[in-house]
Amino acid sequence: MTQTPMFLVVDRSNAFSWFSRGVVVPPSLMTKYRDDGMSGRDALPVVGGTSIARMAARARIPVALEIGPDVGIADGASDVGPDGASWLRGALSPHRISAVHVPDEGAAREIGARAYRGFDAAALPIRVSPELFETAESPVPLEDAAMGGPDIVPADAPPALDDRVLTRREAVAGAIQCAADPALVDAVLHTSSGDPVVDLVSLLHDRGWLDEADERRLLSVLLDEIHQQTSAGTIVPSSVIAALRSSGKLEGIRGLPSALDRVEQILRGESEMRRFRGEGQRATKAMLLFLLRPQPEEVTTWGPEDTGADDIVLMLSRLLAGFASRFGGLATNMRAEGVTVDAVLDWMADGLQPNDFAWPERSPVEAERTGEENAPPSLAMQLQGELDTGSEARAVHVAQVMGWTECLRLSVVADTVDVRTQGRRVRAAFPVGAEVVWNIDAAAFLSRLDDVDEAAIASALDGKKPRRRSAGARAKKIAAGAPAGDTADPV
Amino acid sequence: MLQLPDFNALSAEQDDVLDLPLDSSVIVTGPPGTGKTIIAIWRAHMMDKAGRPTLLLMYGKLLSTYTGAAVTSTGLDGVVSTYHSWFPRFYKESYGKPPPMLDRYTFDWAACRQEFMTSPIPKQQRRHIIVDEGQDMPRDFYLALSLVSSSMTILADENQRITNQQSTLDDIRAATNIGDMRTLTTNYRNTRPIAEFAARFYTGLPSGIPSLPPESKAGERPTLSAHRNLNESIQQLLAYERTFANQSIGVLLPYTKQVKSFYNRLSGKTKNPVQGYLSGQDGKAFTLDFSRPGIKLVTWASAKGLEFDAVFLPELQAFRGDPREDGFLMQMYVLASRAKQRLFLQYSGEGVPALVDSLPLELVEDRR
Repeated sequence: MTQTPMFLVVDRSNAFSWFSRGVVVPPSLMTKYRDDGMSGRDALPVVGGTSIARMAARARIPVALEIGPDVGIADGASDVGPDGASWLRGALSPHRISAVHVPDEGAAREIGARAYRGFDAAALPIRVSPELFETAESPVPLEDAAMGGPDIVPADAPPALDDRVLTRREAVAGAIQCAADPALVDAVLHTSSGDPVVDLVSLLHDRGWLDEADERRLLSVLLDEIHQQTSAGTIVPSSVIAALRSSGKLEGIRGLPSALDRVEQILRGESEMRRFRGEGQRATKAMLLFLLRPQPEEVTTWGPEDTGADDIVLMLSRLLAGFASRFGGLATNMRAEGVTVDAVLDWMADGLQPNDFAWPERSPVEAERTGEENAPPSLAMQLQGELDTGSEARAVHVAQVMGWTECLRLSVVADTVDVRTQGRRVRAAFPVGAEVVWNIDAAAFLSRLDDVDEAAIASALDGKKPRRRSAGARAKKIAAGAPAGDTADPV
Repeated sequence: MLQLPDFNALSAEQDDVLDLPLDSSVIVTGPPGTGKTIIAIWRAHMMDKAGRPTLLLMYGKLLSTYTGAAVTSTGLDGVVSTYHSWFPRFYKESYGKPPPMLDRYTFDWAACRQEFMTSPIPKQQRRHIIVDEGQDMPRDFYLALSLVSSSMTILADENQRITNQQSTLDDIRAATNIGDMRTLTTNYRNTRPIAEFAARFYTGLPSGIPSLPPESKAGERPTLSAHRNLNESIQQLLAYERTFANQSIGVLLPYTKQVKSFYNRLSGKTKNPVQGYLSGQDGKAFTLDFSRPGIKLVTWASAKGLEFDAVFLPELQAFRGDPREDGFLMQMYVLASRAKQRLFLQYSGEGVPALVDSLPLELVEDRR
């Protein structure tokens, strides 16, 4: 591999587009591109250090992204050299960018002030490097510096970029990030049949998330439909249902038509969603939760108490939301950091072939062996991460299952309250429709987590039966507005 | 609640504004729904992140509450104010006395300017001032503002001026000496199906309506339902609210008495407390808390400038005007365009109201 520093010199806007999306791709694959002379090209313009100034002159707000020293050029692709330039095919993960060079302090301040849904520009490795942007003495046109149009791409190269695998990997990457299951991440990264979505469904089935062949079929068709719709724009829930109804691949699935009817009624607002009962496919339940709250940060607010969903259904709903948003649609606090997500981003970038870039592979499993700081996040770390981002539902559930009542805070929001004292006891009665909210005392909860074995928590979460409510508790729920009859949803 | 922008979802014209240097002054114009207010908040966020003292000024109390909730979610507490409450406080802090007034409600801007020029505000005490709904401020305000700010971002739409005491874009440019003006043209608020439906009612100037959002901003079509009686409409509202408990749901009603009626029928039955808003002139005012999801009951007259995840327009049969009149059509445009994701039109009772016959039914999902 060459050790000559290589740079991508682009308009700041295009760099932001890459960081937001989570992958550096050729301009032709970008939905928006601010013209800096490279628009529409099927390869990335990579230059050596002395060519930065000439490239920067074309950009309104130039930045020079330095490609990390661990990235080389694959055999057969054109070398760059310190004075050179070349079009390189393929994609690159943003974590392989070792520095973002800007011409002056003012430019650094401007970048640092900007934050977007998927990344905070202030967290980028910004370097003030005026010397890189000084105008070159020799006014050599870019065309003479081995930069040009399509001619630079070898004649036997594919005529157009096929990004289908890349976009499907982006969707799967979003899914596994949102599901936040390290073992699933590792399995995805080490499975490859050519279609990452097919692999994902197989892995979910092998892990027991999908019970039957019918669920596999349903989830496969659902993921394909989601991917198709999100490739064109925003997902439309009614269109998803319509596609499932008309799919020949789902014929004969027992109960599906009536389940779709029910989902459609709920999505239209014509019928209220009620807690799930034991029967029904997990994939269908997860789909409903996702379609009701399609954004990843919203779907994570569903909890077992309000949905009756088990942990796998909740995980599947998050997986669907992450799949629809793709990695690029995830908010900063859902992208995580570390070796695992770096491996996901490398895997994503490697979905665009042919790829002239080469980098060393490092799997999360290998990272686990190299030290605790590189290990996949434990349940405690996951829960702490969720609490840090304000997501309390799972922590509340764990505290309730484990009986850690001192970690729980109960709030009731209502227009009125009737408070009566009976001896030394106080009784507060709220009207029908009062809002009951459980919150977690994070400090107490995390302290409890430190003292307990994770296996005990996992066992309690997996092996538990639904806690039987006392007659008094059920009466309270009815008083709070739930119908006295069956409150379960047949989905 | 406000979210930071997804960079790749920003339009080129939004990029254009947000890319502007932090120390620059600019006027941003565009019709309603093009995202001027959200641009104002994002720019304030950037300024704050860069450590630059910033102030975001609004005109009306309700909008201030609405925007304040969004700003709070980005950690910009204390940065938002109405100019009626900010200016007297600022003047007194700077000069130890209240600002001169022409009458109880009108500042003597000429006298204020004189003071600013005689005893200038030190540069280190000046802030970047962002003015939303800038057309609502008088021209003389801008003459004074240029003397107390380090730089300005002014967002305005002169098509929305109501009185001659308010400012045109030329007034603002002349008073502030800001040469850079950017225009937002694309509908940022609504999904494409809702924007298409709302646009059918628009009768104003072409410059007063945003261009349709791209096809990629897909969504559910507006829904038209007929109910046997008001109770059925209420039941659908309740079912929706209990299912979509994370959404802000605007229930827009023609008349004040309906706000009270709906409030009484809904309260205590929803997952989130119901909120109602009546303008101050009616003598009784509630406060809308936009930081909380749930149903918000608002009269048609008070809905301007607001937006909700879902909007219900129930009891359409109660409307007593002529649905062919320009005034009503523009009203329908304003109401329909309050909905970001879902729009529900409903009527109850016997027969089909004349208003419903005037709807572009090919653009709705007819659930009757």
